[in-house]
Amino acid sequence: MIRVVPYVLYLLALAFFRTNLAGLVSIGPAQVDFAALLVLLVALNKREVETLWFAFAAGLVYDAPDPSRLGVQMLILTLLAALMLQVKERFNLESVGSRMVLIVAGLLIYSVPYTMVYATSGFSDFFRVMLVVAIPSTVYTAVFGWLFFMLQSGRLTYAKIKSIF
Amino acid sequence: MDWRSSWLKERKTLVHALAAVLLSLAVLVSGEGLAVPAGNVTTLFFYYPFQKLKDALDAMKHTAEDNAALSATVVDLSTRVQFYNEILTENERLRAMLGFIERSQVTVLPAEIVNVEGPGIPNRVLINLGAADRIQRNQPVVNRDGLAGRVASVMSNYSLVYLMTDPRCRVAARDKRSREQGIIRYRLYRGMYLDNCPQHADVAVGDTIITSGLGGIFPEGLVIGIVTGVESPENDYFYNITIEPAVNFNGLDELYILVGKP
Repeated sequence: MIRVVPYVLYLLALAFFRTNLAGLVSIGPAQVDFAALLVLLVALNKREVETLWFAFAAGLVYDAPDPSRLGVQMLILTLLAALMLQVKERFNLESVGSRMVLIVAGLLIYSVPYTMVYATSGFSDFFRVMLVVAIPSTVYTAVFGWLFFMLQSGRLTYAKIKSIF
Repeated sequence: MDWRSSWLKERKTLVHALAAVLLSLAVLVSGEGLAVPAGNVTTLFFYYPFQKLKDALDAMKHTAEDNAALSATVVDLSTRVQFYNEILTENERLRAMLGFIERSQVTVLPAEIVNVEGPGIPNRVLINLGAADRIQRNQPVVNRDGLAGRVASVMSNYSLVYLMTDPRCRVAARDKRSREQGIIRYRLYRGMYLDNCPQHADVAVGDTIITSGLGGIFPEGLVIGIVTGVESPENDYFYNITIEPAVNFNGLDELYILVGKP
């Protein structure tokens, strides 16, 4: 039971982000795909079965305010988690660079169905939305992933940040 | 241990992945029967505490400024109401004389925005009113500048609003000056436009576009926007009419739901 607690906290963080922070941290059309980033980070750091069900729950939390689409994010994020679990076995995840490759690839893969379902009114808009919204969002979200890895590996610490100033 | 349990154990991840995918598909195809209760419970547990926190912080931050502004507005509006009551009485008397049917009363419910979503420009918002507040599907949503959208789905304490920037939100409209009619639509990267308006229609740049009241969802006379361009494409029966929305969708703060039959 105690193993579930961190995942519930991640889900609460997702809800908090969507309620209070999403608007504040977006830069123009670039938004932080926090749900996808969370699932990818969990996939890289946690066990397989837990990752899959966390992705499912993250999709549930993501789409809960819009029941007409409930299930879409569950499906996208679960498939993304399953894909990431398969791919990470074939990667050497020692370096931050290789982990970042997986994060960027995962975010790009996520943005394709996301754009198709949530952001376009027709096929003609798809490539434009991908170029103007989805790719900048992927890059912007990847920056947060990079910061996480830098903190996780100890390359970025409070002392180092303080020394800059 | 028999062969089945050993087979399942070897493929544990695959089995869980399939179970999660199948469950997602089940929720997706189940429609409102499963999705609405599941959405309600999840929203209540995960979103409600943060919304309460946000409301409390917003209230603390703006109370003093809001009080001063509202006091001035109340004085201004009270004066106007007295004036408009006189006109209303006169209008009702004249309508009765002409045998017009009586217009129904619409109540305005203020709503706070819980969450905003959309690619580039917001096209959906979650508000803090639901079925418990008499909110129903398709009720018009306005702000102080004009028509903002319509209620798309209703939960017990929250509702989802499709803004006018959502391609699914189409409104029967007319030119306030010439009374020419059309359909207001919105496409990403094309913006808002008045569709189905034939090229012989009298529509000019600067005209105000309002709801026509046709269709029975939106009451007549709500401001939608201003005409910013009228083009007459060759080989087409209709104008290309671009509209600048009256509502600033990037700066939405408060919304109002029109409750009651339009």
